[in-house]
Amino acid sequence: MALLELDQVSFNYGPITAVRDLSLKIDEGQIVALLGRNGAGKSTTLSGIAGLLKPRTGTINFEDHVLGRAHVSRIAKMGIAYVPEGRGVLGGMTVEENLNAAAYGHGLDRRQARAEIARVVEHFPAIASRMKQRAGTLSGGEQQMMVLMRATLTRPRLLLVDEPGLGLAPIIVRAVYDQLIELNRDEGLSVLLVEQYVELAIETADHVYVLQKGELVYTGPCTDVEGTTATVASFVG
Amino acid sequence: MDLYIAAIVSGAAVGGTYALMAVGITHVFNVTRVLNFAHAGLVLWGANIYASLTFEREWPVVWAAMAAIAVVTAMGLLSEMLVFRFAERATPVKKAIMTFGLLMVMLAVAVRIYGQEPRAAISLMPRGGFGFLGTRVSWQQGTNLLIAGLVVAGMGVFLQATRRGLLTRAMAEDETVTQLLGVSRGSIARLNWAIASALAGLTGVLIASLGVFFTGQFVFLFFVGLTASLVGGLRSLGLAALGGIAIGVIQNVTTVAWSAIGAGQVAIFVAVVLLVLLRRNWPSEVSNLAWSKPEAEDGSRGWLVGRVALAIGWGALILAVVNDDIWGTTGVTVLIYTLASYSFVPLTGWTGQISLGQGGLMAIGAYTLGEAYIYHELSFGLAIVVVLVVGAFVGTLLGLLTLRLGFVQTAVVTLSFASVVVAWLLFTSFFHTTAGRLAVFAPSYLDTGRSLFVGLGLATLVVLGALWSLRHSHWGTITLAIRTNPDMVRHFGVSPARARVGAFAISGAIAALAGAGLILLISITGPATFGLTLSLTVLLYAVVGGTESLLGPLIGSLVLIALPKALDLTQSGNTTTSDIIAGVAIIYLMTTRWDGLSGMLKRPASSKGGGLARRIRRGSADGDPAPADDGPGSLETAGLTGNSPA
Repeated sequence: MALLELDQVSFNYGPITAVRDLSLKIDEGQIVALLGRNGAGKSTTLSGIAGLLKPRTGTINFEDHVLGRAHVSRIAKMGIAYVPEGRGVLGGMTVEENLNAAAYGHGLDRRQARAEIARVVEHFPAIASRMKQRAGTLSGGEQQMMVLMRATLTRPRLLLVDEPGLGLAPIIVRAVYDQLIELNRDEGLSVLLVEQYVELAIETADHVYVLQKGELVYTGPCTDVEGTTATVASFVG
Repeated sequence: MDLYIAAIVSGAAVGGTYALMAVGITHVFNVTRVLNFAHAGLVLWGANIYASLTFEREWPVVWAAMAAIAVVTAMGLLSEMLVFRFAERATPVKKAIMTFGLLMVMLAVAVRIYGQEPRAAISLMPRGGFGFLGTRVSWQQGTNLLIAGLVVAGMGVFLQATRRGLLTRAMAEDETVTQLLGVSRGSIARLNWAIASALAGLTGVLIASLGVFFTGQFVFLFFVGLTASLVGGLRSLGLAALGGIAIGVIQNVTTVAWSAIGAGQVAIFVAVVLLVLLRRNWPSEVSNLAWSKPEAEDGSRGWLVGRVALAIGWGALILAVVNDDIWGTTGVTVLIYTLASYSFVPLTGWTGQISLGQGGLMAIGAYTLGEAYIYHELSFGLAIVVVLVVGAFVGTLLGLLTLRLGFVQTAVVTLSFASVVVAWLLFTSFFHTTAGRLAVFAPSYLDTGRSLFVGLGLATLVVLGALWSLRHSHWGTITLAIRTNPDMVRHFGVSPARARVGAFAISGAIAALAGAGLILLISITGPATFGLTLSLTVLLYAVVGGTESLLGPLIGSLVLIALPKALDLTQSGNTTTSDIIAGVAIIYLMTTRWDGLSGMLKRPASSKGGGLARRIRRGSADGDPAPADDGPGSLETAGLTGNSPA
């Protein structure tokens, strides 16, 4: 049984359909890349899965749950973590407070929160020394690391990441992707990834979906990176 | 010197109450981005419940205080349900207006139950006091100040050292991100609304414990609390509390230094103006608040029925006035509120500005008429011209003063203006009155309800015609464009500032005319008639009717004043029924039609226009719409950008 399954899902902005009849599947422990040009409906899809948009048609199943019209915070508690485009840093709060907000939001007490923070810090040692620093003053790469820490703190089953490389230097983008792969390998975290760097995404992912003008135009495994990249590039340009 | 020390000490004690108001307002705004006008209503109810339990039912003061706080907390949670559950997607300004409606309902119901007369309660603390710097401070005053300090410290501990406090701060910083972390917005909002409501109840108990209180006082208290909140940028609880205490001190010291009536209000006005003009950087959540730009709200299918009903309503009112002179008074009241509502059309409907000071402009109109017509014995027609000129002049000054200010700052400055007019200006030698009392008897051709109705009716038609001409003039087109996109208009070489000040001038003239009508109706009155509640009431009636359409004022006042009278719902001598209806209507309208009742009279796009418009509409309904860009729109659609500008 798939971890997440979208069946003929459409998302609208008022009268305008942004994503039409999308079917998509993510298995346990899989990394899936969702690619497409600007305006293709990628971020809309992630927002919809996270509950920020309600599907106009179709069903979204996560494990045994039908997400349907479930509230954002409830979906988060089911085990879906979402790192939105722009990262969603609580800039006026310290790194530690950002992490605690995620822990407390999931009902952990102080002791449990401390233990979970200690766990995720192992994956992101560079952030360990910045715990008392205001998150808004971190560099772009550090902010991206921090939001990944925050997202994985509560042991989600599925991580939705929207353009983790946006605005970062290539070397930092590589480091962020390495962390994603590590989390996937060590903790069995499934990932749905939206990215503009087509080749990097295909290198990282097990499976790829390509959207064009809100509709699915290609889907396939990423076993042959070069071949898949060429195919996807013919859609994405 | 001793006098000044005494003034500072007693001012700080009074300021303790202002500080508590400010902390409550700031806390709710911080967490929910809602400027909660209903806070004043909750404080009023806290005071009234405590007074009833201690004075009439003789409960022990501690039990009475706890009961009052509990009831007010429950009322606050109920209002949170109204504002948030039913209007989850409303913008912060719409929610603020809904709380404004709630305030009017709370005030009106309180007047119905407890009356408008001053009330007293048993003091929470024993009588007597202690000496401090040579000044006698009552135990209650000292306690109020102490409690204000403890509340600020307690709130600080809650926000910085508790799990819920941290989530509250996270929610205040970014609602959407915090929800994505698994935090329920509803539970955090409820918790903090409950805290603020309990604080309102406590504030009410402490105010009642100080001595005699009355309903009208609480709108002033809200205004002072809001001013103090601005000291902290509607963000810092500590600065808001200090602002409250500072206002108390400024008020008292000014009263000692300058013995004029209303000197304290003048000092607050000056402090408010200096504060909003000198402070350049406001938190984005404050500066982003703005009256909504026109929304693409379609008309109503029942528009024709609505317009016919409006015509029948006015026809029935005219017939009633013709047949029964008693209805003349109601008819004149309807026209006064219609005129007052028209003063918001160029100001709010066209240029998107706000004024909580129309009551002050109405007072200036009434007193100017008395001055010109009675004292200087000008002809009545000339006196009315003077009223219009003075109203336009004062409106211009107000427009210039608020030109660069945001929504909240303008609201505070205009409300402060109304306060200073009523508390100080009307008592000065500008107007030759005795202790502010004004007597103006209408000329013989206007001295019956019926004849005054005809006279004011003609004046209303002239105003309507003038506004219609303006709306369809070059100036009117520019004005509407300014509201939609001021920067673009500036690129065309047009000054938005000039149009905005012009709108204030026109608004001032019309409001002054409404004030002149009011004094002709009641003949003898005092400044209290034009108190802050009047400013809020006329704004409420105008928004219910709709400020964007010239039909709005005609429908608002008819529905809110004439209809309750026709249904025999009104008590003589007050407008509480109308206020309750208006308050409920505004809450409903903010969740349905931002453009007020007049929106229901708007012809829908589907029933007008021909080929192209219809083809486009058909295309969007049946055809193949373009996909939207991924981006910020997604959060707006989900109704999760609660702190987005209106």
